[in-house]
Amino acid sequence: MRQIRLTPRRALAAIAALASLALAACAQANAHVVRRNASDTVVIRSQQEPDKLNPTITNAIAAVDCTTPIFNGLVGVDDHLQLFPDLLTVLPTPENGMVKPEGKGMLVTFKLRPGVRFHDGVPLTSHDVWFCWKLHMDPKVIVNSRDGYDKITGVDTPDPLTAVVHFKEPYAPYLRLFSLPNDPILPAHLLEKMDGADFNVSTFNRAPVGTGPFKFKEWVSGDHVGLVANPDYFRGAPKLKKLYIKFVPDDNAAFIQLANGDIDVYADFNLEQVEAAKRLPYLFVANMPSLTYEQISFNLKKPLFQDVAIRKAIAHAINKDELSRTIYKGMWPVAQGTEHPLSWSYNPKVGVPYPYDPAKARAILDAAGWKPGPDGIRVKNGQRLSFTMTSTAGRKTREQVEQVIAGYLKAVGIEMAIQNVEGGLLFASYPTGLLQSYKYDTALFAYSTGVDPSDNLANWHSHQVPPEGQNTTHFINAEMDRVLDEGNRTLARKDRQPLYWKMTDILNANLPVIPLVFWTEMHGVNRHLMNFRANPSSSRFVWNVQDWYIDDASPSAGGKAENPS
Amino acid sequence: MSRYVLRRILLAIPLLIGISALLFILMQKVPGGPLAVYGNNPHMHAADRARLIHAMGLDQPLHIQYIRWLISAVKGDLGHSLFTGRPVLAMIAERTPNTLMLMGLSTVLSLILGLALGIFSAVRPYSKFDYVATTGSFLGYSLPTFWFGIMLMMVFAARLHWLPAGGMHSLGQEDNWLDGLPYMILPITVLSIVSIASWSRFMRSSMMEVLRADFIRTARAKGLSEKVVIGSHALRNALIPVVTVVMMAMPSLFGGAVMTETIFSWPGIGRLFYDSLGKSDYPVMMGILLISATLVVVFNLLADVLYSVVDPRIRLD
Repeated sequence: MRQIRLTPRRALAAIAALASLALAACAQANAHVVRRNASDTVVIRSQQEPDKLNPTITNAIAAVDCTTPIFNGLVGVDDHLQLFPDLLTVLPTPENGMVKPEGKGMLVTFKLRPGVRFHDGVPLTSHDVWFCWKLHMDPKVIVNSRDGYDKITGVDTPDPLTAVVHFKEPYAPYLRLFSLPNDPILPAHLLEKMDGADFNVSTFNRAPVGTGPFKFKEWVSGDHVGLVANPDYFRGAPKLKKLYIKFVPDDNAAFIQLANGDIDVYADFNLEQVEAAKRLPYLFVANMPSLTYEQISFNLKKPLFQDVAIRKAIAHAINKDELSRTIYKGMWPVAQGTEHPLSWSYNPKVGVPYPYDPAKARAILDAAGWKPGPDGIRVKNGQRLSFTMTSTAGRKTREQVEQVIAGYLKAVGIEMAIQNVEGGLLFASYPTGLLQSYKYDTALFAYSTGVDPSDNLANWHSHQVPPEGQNTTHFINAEMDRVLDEGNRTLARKDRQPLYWKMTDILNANLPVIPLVFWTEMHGVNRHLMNFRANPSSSRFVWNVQDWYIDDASPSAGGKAENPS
Repeated sequence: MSRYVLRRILLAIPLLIGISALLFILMQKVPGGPLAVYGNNPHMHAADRARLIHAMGLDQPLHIQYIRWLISAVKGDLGHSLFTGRPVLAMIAERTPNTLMLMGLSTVLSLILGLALGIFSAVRPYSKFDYVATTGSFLGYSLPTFWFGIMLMMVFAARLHWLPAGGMHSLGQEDNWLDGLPYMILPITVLSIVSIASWSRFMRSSMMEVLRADFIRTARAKGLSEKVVIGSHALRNALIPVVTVVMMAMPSLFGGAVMTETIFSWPGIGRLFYDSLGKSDYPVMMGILLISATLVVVFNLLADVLYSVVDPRIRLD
């Protein structure tokens, strides 16, 4: 009898098969269930429990869904990636004179919306803005990043509704500051008497007070966070009365709860769950474009990859359209550059810089002196054209993509071995992490950038080589440095746009990475939940929670009509 | 006997220190670490990372960190979580009742059913009942928890809608004792099946061995009824080895069941441990492991002492 050895790969395949079987079974069984919660209550599933509900000192994604409804920032980002004044009356720009040069630096005037009160009834004032800056610079406070705040030299508060912020140098992404998801305006009157170390462990972090549409009510450890409507919200009382964020660690259990109507929103479906949800007529899948892109990084410290011809040949050898269509089921669109077509920094003239063309790939390699050896793999000066690709072990789609890419490369005479490691080891900070310490040949993973293209600086600037930043390809290019520095200093968007177009050109000419596809985040939502509008910025879908409501009567109308995606 | 107990307790101290030192070092050697949650945040610079590492106290040499932890642990302070900033003891305390309830109920259920099954199988070995019980317990013992738990949920929550798919209460019903009942059924079933399976096997083999002993033949020869022979003569002797097995299972009453609690979203110690593991929250992990290790040592000792009580032939000195 032939023995079947249980390898980890087979075990995983078996588990995956069982899980999809399970999903299919439950999808079929529940065609009649609708919702189990009251029509003034919505339940969002969170896989993880947040550590704190104080956005300034937590970086947990799990906290975003809980804290975004509680707080407001000065500036918000809508679902079309447009900035809007949140706690402000108007966005300060150079055009309207609220952003002005001042010596070597600049001066930004923030006009606060009148009549905004914290949940305890105390009015929001410019003093709270001053306090949030101070908080970021307090050496004892464990903020994640001081990026931007460290360029502020002072915050004047000439009147309760005006904050004038002085910067020591021009800082283009100034509208990123004092805003969600991480830096909303916190109530100075409750916190400023505390020492920084006490702030880190304050009870406020478990029972926060903000200005947002929902007030904190309870946190049942290990189970849920409960919020209630703030009837005095400055945009009007929210339509819902209660909002729960329920912690359900297991994906299968969460899917059953969604199918049973116990939860209304299941964030971040995988592709199998999207298929299973199609059989549940009262669910819709909200597809949300994401600024995160899947890409192949080259370790430019390795002599092999210092020849740009090899990078270009690889780019021509990979059929991105086929990857997007098959493995990503057509849900994740092809990326031709690092900038998302929704973003103002996207260059519409980018076209398809490296179309799939194996013949061209072969010609480039031939011209670079790489001749096919006896086994079909190319050789130059006795060196075989062979390297490894590293990715996060256990992620099925990435493992499939690697195998397909290995096939594409083999067809043009390149040998690629797959060498996956646990995600923690790949992404760990310097000197442990394989990326940060340049212990890889090529790597397949995702880059996520913020709404402002200045985030690119951390990836491509020569000063951002680890441990300082995330330049894990070791891309050193003087022109790129100039363009990125300029982009960070130039204030008017019309002047910044050509700089980031230039950035895309430099990246495409040099290929430190090959972008493959942009992510699409897929959220399973109960069709009775109206006004669910997913947002590509990091405030995800809770950004407009004050507009959500439940329509028990017309399941067919559903959120879908209001969700063009 | 008291000298024996004292000696064992004294021996346990270096053992626990050794275990904790080993765990402390192993934990920090796992790649990733507490800063991994910050991922590739483009706004974090080397200075930000250094600042956070310093705030967490992780910039100290490993042995200094360990000695500091040990000194405060001896004083009864298990430190603060790196992420929530709350005292580890408070975090453990709020989860303990949930785990004790889940594990306690399933242990009682498994004891009753497991021992009864074992006794009946042993009294009528190789009967139809015995074959069914034996097959059943092998099946039960080899069921992987994650699979079995999901399957139960598929049937009873997704298909039949009889029971909820995880959690401990309906939202807003945290104080309603009755509301919690249906939430317990599936996790307790999953936990009990495995224990019933293994304990019934122990009970069966132990009982069968005793039933072959001379004193059982003597008891029967004296004309005692089968009820008395099995119930008082055989059972008491057969329980001796089972005591050890059961005692060794007691520490898990605290430690909980990581898999089951995670699948069923049960807010217990096992889940707390699982979450802390994912984030490399060293103080919380150390706290849970230290308490678990202490309980293992204590129940080990208790099993030995109890052994001498149920079996007068064994003397501890």
